[in-house]
Amino acid sequence: MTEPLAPTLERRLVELVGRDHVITEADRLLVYESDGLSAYRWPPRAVVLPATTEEAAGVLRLLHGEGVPVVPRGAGTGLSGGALAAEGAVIVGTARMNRILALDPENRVARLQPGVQNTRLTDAARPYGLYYAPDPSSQTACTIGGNVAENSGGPHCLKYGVTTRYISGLTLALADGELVKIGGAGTDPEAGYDLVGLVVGSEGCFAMAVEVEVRLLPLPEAVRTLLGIFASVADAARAVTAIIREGLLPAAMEIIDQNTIRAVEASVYAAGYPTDAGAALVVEFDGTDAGLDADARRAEACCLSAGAREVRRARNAGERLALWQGRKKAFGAMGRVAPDLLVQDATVPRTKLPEVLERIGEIAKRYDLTIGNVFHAGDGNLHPNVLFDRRNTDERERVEAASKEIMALCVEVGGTITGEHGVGVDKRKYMKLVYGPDEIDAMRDVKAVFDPRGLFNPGKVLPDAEVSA
Amino acid sequence: MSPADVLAGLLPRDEVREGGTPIGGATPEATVSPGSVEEVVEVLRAASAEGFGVVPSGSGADLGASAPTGPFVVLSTTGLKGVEMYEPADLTLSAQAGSTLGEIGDVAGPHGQWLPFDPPFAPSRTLGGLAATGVRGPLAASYGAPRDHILGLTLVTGDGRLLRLGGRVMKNVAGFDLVRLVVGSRGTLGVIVSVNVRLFPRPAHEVGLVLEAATSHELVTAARAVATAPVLPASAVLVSGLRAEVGADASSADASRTPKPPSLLVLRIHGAPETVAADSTRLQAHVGRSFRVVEGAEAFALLTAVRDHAMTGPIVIRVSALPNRIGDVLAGAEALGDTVQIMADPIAGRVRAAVSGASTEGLEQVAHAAARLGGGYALERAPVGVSIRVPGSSPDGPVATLARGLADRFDPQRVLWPGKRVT
Repeated sequence: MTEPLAPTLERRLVELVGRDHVITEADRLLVYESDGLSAYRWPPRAVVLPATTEEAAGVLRLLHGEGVPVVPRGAGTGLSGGALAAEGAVIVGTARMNRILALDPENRVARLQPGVQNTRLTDAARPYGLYYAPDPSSQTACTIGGNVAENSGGPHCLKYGVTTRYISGLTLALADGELVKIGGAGTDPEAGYDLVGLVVGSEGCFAMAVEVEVRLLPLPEAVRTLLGIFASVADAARAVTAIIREGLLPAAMEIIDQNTIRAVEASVYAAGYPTDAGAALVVEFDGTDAGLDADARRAEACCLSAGAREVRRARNAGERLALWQGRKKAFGAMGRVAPDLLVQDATVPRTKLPEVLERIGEIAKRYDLTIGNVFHAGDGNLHPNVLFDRRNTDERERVEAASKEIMALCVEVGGTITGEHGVGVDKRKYMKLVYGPDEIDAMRDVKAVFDPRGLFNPGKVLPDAEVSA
Repeated sequence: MSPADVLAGLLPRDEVREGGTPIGGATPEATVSPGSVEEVVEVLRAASAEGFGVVPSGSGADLGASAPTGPFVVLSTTGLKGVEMYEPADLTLSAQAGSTLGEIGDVAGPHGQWLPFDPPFAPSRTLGGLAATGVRGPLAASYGAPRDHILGLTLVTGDGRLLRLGGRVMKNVAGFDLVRLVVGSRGTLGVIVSVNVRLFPRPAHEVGLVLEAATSHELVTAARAVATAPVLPASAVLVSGLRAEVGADASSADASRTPKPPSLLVLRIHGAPETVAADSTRLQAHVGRSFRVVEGAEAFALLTAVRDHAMTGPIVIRVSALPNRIGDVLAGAEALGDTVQIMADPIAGRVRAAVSGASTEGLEQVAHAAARLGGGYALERAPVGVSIRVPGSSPDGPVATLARGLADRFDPQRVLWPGKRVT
């Protein structure tokens, strides 16, 4: 059990944001003790919910004055334990900072508070023919502030890129509550350091984003969606490589393996995928209507020459949703098969996918685990989903050992330990697989420039400092 | 010992020469072209120990208008050449920093791939220089900037540490994003020695759409209509003062006798042939004007001329503002002189102006107006002694404090680009 807040600090926080928005009761704190990665449960000392930039800055100033660490938190959908409160930290939640402050269709930017939920932004932009491109799978729940912290991806990154490409400016509250505006539409993007790029993806370890400016894109005129059915994931991965070699740039290419297909088809989300298939590949093109049929035909030919036994093409919006169903509901369906689900995340060079998937299969066998693979094949971003039961200590240890081997494998072939879920708590131990001590020290140095007292999101991202003798 | 003598003792003879091309009027003590990463490390360690400055340089296209302070050497990366890894099916390539964009194009072209970066004089620029400056061309409107496609890089810090940042994969959130900090840091955090980039499939077909008018002012409405159209062109550029009429003889440079050239709005559209046709129709319908279509060699020559326009002349100023204020910025820039050349990007909200003889007051007015519109400005090229001072640019604000803190960590002795402030 963590130590409660000092009564004077609590009183001052209440004065600032109101009694209802300072949470200290153990039962109400339960909601905040973990995020989308259920393996870690750390209750915070308190949760404070400011509504405005000024309130957020004031909260940080008070906590800074007492030397209390802070964890900014959005919707808590993260999958790396990044929004947990370590080392007696107080969570500063953005649930009430949920206003879209300005939408400027002429300059194709929007200014918003960090607690705005991802799809709400696109809903607001759609009447102007615009949308916000990054679409993480949790987009109906996750917040823009959380997306900024994690540099979130999603299925459509292959063509459109990840969150960092769409953040044009930020207002940060530093640990002592000082507000700093960086970037912003109209400013010269070549002047000065790219502080926006540096802060996006810093997992709440530098500062808290209290206002976010995003770039919007015109909605694509049309979409074509295909589903290829393959005998194996290796064949599906070969089709992906063939599509890239063909010079096509789909908006998305997603693979679902046999374990996952069976889980989906056995669930309420059944999407009509054949359960004897080794893998399914969703390919989607978007853009100007005129060129899309030709693109889709060429992709279809790539699938067939890679051994697809069947390629389905959606003829309307309803059929498109059906083709996507198995992909979108994969995590939910897998989650029903076993008490616990570990959603892993790593990226490998796309051409290494067949080899890596085969070796992940061997690792699963060796540790007697069920692993289902659902992944962004176009970017080589893997999500091996490990099924287990947390109460089974032996199984938990095997999951841990298998995860470690999978991470080492991905790094060995030229990849990395996380493509979009972040390091958080869970992957600190793997950081040394990808970086040497100098790179990790450089990251520590950069954090110290923003947060000299180390108050922002302690115990995350960087491994513990080596203690020199 | 002079920096040249120190370096002559460290590097092979043919990699060190005394003096070099002046930067902002200041002549370097020596110019060195290390042939390996280890030699770059040696140079920076020596600079830190001996206390001379180091200005990293790629093709030298973008060293700016200000002079380094104190004795310095130019570290040219042109000796670091070669593609280290290219996997077409992964759309990824790694090359040493001194490789030029033209050389990379030659390697990727046969595989139907390219790097969609088109800053002025793109083919002769180095990959390291592109990463160090982060400089954008018109194609950034649709493809994004270099920072969006640089997957990783290797950096030698001011004190000679070798950092391998980022990686070679498309999506990577392992640790803090130091790659983006380094991209665009203009040599103040370290010397970039190699870069990993993401390539794109080269479009099958390409056209230019051209609209002409007597003055750029008459094209602003059309340019802004393009920037808010439901379909984005690959790029959109508004130029004035472009003498090289496409297909015509560009050598008639006698400005007093040739009539003032028209202003042009040039759209670049590419993709599959049917997509190009549909996008062209849709854009023209949205703008409500009929454009002239150019293709093939003529399109290539026009797009190249437009890309490199407004870069020659003693003074080059770059101004940014919200895209819907581009008309105001243009008007201010055009008032700089009779022979002003303009290259404006209505999607990015950016104007580049080259003038042969503008007064400091005139330049300050343009910069001031941009600052008032919430934008920014930079003097890319200027004669020695010409600078811009605009009230309101503070070296003491929180952003400047962060920037200084970062530079201190990467370059504790402050040997890199002495005197340059990047905030």
